[in-house]
Amino acid sequence: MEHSTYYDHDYSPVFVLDKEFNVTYFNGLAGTFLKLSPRKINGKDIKELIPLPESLWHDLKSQALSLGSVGVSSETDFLYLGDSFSFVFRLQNNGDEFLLFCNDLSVEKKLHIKYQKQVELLKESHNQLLQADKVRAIGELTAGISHEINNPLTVASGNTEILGFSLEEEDLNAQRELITSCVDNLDESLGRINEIISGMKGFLHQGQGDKKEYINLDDVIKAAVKLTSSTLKEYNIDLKFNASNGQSVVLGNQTKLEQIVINLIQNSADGIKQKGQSDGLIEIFLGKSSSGHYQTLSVVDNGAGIESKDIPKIFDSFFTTKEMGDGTGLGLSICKKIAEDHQGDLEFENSNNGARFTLKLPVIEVSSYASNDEFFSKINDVDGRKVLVVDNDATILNLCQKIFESTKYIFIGSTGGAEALDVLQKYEVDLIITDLNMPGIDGRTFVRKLRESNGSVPVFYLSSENGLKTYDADKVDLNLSGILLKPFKTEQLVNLLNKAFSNS
Amino acid sequence: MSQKFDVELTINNGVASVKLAGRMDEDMDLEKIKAVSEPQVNFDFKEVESINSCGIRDWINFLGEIPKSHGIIYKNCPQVIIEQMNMVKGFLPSNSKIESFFAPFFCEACEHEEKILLTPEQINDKKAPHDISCPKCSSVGMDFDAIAAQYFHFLD
Repeated sequence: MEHSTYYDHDYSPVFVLDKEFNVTYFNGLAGTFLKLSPRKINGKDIKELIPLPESLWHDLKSQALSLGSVGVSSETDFLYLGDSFSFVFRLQNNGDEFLLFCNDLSVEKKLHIKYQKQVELLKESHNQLLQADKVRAIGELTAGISHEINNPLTVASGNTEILGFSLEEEDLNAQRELITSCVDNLDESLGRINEIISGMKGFLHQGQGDKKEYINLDDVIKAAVKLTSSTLKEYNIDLKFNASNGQSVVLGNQTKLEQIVINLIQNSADGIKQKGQSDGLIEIFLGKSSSGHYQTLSVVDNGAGIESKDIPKIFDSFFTTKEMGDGTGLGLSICKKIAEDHQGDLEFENSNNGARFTLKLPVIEVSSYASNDEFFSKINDVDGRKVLVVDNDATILNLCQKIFESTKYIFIGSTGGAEALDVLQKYEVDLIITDLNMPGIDGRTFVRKLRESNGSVPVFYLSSENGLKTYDADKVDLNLSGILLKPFKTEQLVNLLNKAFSNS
Repeated sequence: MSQKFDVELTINNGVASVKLAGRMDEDMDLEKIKAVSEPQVNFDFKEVESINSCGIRDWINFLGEIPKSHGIIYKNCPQVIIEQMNMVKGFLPSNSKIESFFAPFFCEACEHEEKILLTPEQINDKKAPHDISCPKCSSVGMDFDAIAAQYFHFLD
């Protein structure tokens, strides 16, 4: 066989070996790799030329024992002339000779490692940027917060003074009412200061990681409003927000979402200040996108808005319309990035009187499903049982998610009956656990609608002891599989799932 | 471990002389010479130690940005570069010329190995010159220490 015809232009090293593993032919790339002249390669034992463990050669040879069979190595790292290489070797038995193909993956492997390091660096830089932005936000709020602390501090100081005078009186019993009132005032004032400091500390130091959990956007907004209230007071800006009463639960990182809302409120305050608006107003609305796929949080103000020429650039890093030193130009770009990290988005439009920023976050039915995507890829169809848990209480959903992480089952969360019915239109699930008392469509109505649409998936009620009567009344009618009583332990839930699936 | 890639540029009378050194790989930065607009560019590869597939790709892309009307000269090409020229289309564009290159020789008398600088004119019919003297023992007629038909393929 004229080997040169086949292998001289192959872009990977190829050797032809006799039965004793001595080189009888090698192609151009083989010589380039070995950096040896032909007289030092021809006739030489390949095991002496390429420094690999004896066991690897042995494995290759034993795999390629019969005519036509091929031995393949796993990716093998080795050092040659001071450089590191990564090869996959393929040894083909041609009867009177062996063909050794060396698939050089060294460059790919080095690039992969470099890429991983760079991604880590980027993540680190991004986290540093996020932290810097938080420090900046706190910096901007400090003046207002100091003022906010000063008020209770003055009250506390005054009451301490009064207490001092009271204690000088001979008849302390006669002063009892006054002393009690002073202590109450002190307690309240110090409590207020503690609340402000805790809020700041929480914003700066909590949730440094990317950990996402089920959170209520009402809580996010309230925390952000608390931190910005002094700024708003300073500029005489009114802030209106109607809480959704637990209707706006998303899968997210509380601190990062607070960071977005604080940024948006501060931007609105700046816009109002810039316009010189005396009756400044910021309104925060919670709702859902028309498709129903997103939870929306809109911050609307009656400030200056943004000039149309600047709109395409407002989410670019380092773009700012503020005076030099007043803004870093990073706030909105960081907010946009945080929103995208939550598989959401941050959008802007000029409202009738000012600016409207809308944060879009996937409704939890979508995000919890998507967050299990990695899990999906690891499992086969048998183990990948999908369980829909319906509860409007974010803490229950968080607890369930945590418990599910240690099981082979896939968790999908939903905050209400209507949302759960929507999920079932799109995804097939293997089991449902539903709370009974929920705003909108409650647990019973949800299961009834499910059964009416021929849904035969096993359903468990999730309720306090009060729900037992409802369960008894419904179990035959609605073909219920059981009830899980609150509060429950990890073991109870896991056992329930294991039993339910072993029966099916 | 070979040294990092480095590039040195001097421009004189419409001729850009570029000295390349070290590893030509994914970290190779050619920015310094990308803006060269001289009609003649001479590349000196003497100090190049290795080149991998990323380096080859970047080099060929870089050559593609040099106008076809400009002249390119390769000189002092080491064995690693010659081997790539023989394997990879585009390494030697049509507007390029090789001035000199290294080739491996071996002295049977004293077993000394030496990379000898040759010019294309010394190669006839893909055969190495026979009159190379050993720099160690001065014997004339060092043996060519590679497969001539493969090594001189780039001169076709």
